[in-house]
Amino acid sequence: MLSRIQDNMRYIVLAIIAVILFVLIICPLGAIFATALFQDGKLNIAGAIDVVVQSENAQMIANSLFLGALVVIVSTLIATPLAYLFSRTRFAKYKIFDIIFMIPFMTPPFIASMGWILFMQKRGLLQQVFPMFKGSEDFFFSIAGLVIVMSLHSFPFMFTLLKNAMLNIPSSLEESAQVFGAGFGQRLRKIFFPLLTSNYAIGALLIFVKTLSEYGTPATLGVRIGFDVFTTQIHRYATVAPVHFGNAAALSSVLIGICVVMWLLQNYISNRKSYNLVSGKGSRFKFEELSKLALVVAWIYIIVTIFFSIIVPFFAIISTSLINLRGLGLALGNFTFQHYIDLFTSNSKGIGAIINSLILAVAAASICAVLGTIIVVVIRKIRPKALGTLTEGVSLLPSFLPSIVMVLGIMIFWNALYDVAPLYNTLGILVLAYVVLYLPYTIQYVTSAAGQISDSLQDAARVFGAKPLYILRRVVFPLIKPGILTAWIMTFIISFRELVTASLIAPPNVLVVSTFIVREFEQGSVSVGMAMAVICVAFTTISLTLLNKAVDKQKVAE
Amino acid sequence: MSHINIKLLDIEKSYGSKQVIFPSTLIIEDSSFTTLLGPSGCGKTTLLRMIAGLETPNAGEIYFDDTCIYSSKQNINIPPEKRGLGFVFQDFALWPHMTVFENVAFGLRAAKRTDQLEQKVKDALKAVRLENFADRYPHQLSGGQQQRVAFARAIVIKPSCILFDEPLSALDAQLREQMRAEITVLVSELGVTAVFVTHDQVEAMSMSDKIAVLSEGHIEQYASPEEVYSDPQTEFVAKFVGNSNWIDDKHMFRPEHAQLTPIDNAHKYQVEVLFQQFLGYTFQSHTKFQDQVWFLNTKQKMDVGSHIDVYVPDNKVISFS
Repeated sequence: MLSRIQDNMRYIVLAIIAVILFVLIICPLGAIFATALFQDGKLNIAGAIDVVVQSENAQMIANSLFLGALVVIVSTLIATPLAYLFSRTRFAKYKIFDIIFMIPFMTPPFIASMGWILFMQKRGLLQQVFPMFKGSEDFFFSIAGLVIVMSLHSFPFMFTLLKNAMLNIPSSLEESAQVFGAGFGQRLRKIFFPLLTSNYAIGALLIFVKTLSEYGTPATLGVRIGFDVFTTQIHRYATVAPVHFGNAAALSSVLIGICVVMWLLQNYISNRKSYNLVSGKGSRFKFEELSKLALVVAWIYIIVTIFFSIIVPFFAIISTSLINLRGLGLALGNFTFQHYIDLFTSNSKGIGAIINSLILAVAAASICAVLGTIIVVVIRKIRPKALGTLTEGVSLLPSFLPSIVMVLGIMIFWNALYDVAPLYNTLGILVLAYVVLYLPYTIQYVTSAAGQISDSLQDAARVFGAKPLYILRRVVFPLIKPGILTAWIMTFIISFRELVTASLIAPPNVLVVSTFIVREFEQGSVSVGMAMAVICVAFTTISLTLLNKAVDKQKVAE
Repeated sequence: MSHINIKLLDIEKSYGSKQVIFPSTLIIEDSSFTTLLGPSGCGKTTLLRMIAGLETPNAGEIYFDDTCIYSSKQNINIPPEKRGLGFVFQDFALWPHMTVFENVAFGLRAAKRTDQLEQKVKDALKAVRLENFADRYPHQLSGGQQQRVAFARAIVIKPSCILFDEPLSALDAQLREQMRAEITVLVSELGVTAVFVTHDQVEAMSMSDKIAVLSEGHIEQYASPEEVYSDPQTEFVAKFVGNSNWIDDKHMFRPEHAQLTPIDNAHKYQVEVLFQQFLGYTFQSHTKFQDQVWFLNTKQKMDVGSHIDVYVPDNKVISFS
């Protein structure tokens, strides 16, 4: 009897979740397709196609695809030697580099991109220190510069993926090739690379999709060189008067189509080519010996990569935030902490932005944590299983699509709904958008934490007389708590510095940290903007460190 | 197939400050089946990998017949791919992205010996009774079949020597026994020199012409299985190979030499029966002599706790100084 009520409760909760997800995720996506295909209430496919093929948009699409391909290639070139060094040679022992190489990936792209602009622009930091680089800005402010800045952001992802793939190849597979007569080149060609292909393909597709979805760098650097991509063009259609939601939606639909194709391709590859590589018994791992020369080259390569991916942008951001009078540039006596002090004292907009970001981040993280945890707990026990899988799939959908697309959908949908639910043009719409975008993270973290709870743990609790809610409180919840905590902080961090959502749907005159930085960078005091950028990165980094400490502590406690 | 002798002369190896092989000399006779036997960490695998070229010694010389393939003094170090050996790895090391056929053909292709490639690969697969599995991938095979592919891959290149690195340890007990017989028969048919690494003394005793017993980087004894068993040169060998009953720190005998009835030229010892197990062909008793446990094989069951007299012939007692 009791369990019957329990079951019914579960289905009621599931129904509520389904409604929430439908409104939050499915409706906005539907709104995009509807807006793209219908004009004045009539189906108008030709109109949508016209938008896409008109010359500036066709050019933009070509730009995006070209940029995506180049970023994949350059990221690969940067990441592959590093992955090899840190998996197959003694460098693998220096775990600290795993963290160092995550820094560029964790830095918000728009901030790194601003750092590069400040460093490379005419009379920028580079030319102030080394006047002989006059003219180098011509090289940088081109597609080459854009590709390099974006690749320096995304290579850590490829690095981690390739490194783990290489670690999964037992040394004996290479050694056996060696014993049976294959030289170094032959081993790379016939053993090493074929075994990496599927992992590499997956990484390449992910970086391609990420590049196409990226807004921060194209919006800061790309715009300066007149290089339009999907995200900047959609943003323009949706925000610059006269607003063209129809055009934005048509381009978004194309972008969704490209992403779907990429994901299908990725799925196909990972299903077709997955070898069971990790063999347990007797697998030994032997590091490749490096000659003295190779060792020197390796160190130089690592240092150069760190220099360009971390030191240059951070040097530019930090030094700019400390410069008193921009006209004097980098000069002794021209440094001040005044911009930081201003931010917290006289600059009401700055303080307002920080407070807004904090409110938004706390609200989004808390709602995600609650909603995500409920979803995971409920769908674990739902029968038929497909129902649970479907619910989970819908909730994860936003993580497979560019954020700008989701946000555009939310914009159109809630705009249309304004008379019924006046959420649009309030902070509430931002919270809602963050919840939609970052719910997948919570689901993933909590699901993986819940994965360690085997059925027998719950069965054991039942045998010893625990009722379902008691099991939830005493067994399930304590075990998934670290997952929830991680999810909360991750959502907090990314919400705190999110750019594209805020710049699309923040109410007029409401600034958050990211939009404040962009505004100061473009038309205010660059130094104040960079001071805020430093605070933003420092604050999120500290939060992340505290999180790791907390999670480690929990693990020890267990 | 051709066959070679292998000479390891004053070979030594250390990793950082840890010496894993102390200066050792070992002559492996051609066409012989030689086993490197010892507990884990004794250096047996390192020694094998140095023969293959997968590890580089710190000093010493290695010869295949009269050809120097490694010499620290002359600065010679032929890389593994030029040594022309067969190798069967502990985890089999089959390439998961290649079919059985391609796995076996690899060595021939790498050396560009592609004439009659198909026939040679088929012959090798036939020798291990896998001729119908050529198009399968490794993960579609059982452990024993993977093991045989690894073996076919080693014999197809007609090496002058095949090295085995604990190839049976990944298999279950029954399969291990079967493969033991198969490998021994095939190796002797091929007439090739074989070097076999194992920590399992039964494997070593049953397969080898000669056994080198290793302990902590030293070769303790290098002799035929019979000699190693009946005339162990060190206490370690006596303890590691077979059961040994210790009279005191320096004197031991093998269990089968003990008698329960009085005989000439023998010493009498009184022992207490602790535990007994029936093994089918014998009862094996664990008995207590002073603070030692002795194994005894008896035809009839004995009561636990009873005291019995044991006679050990003087000439069967082995002494260590």
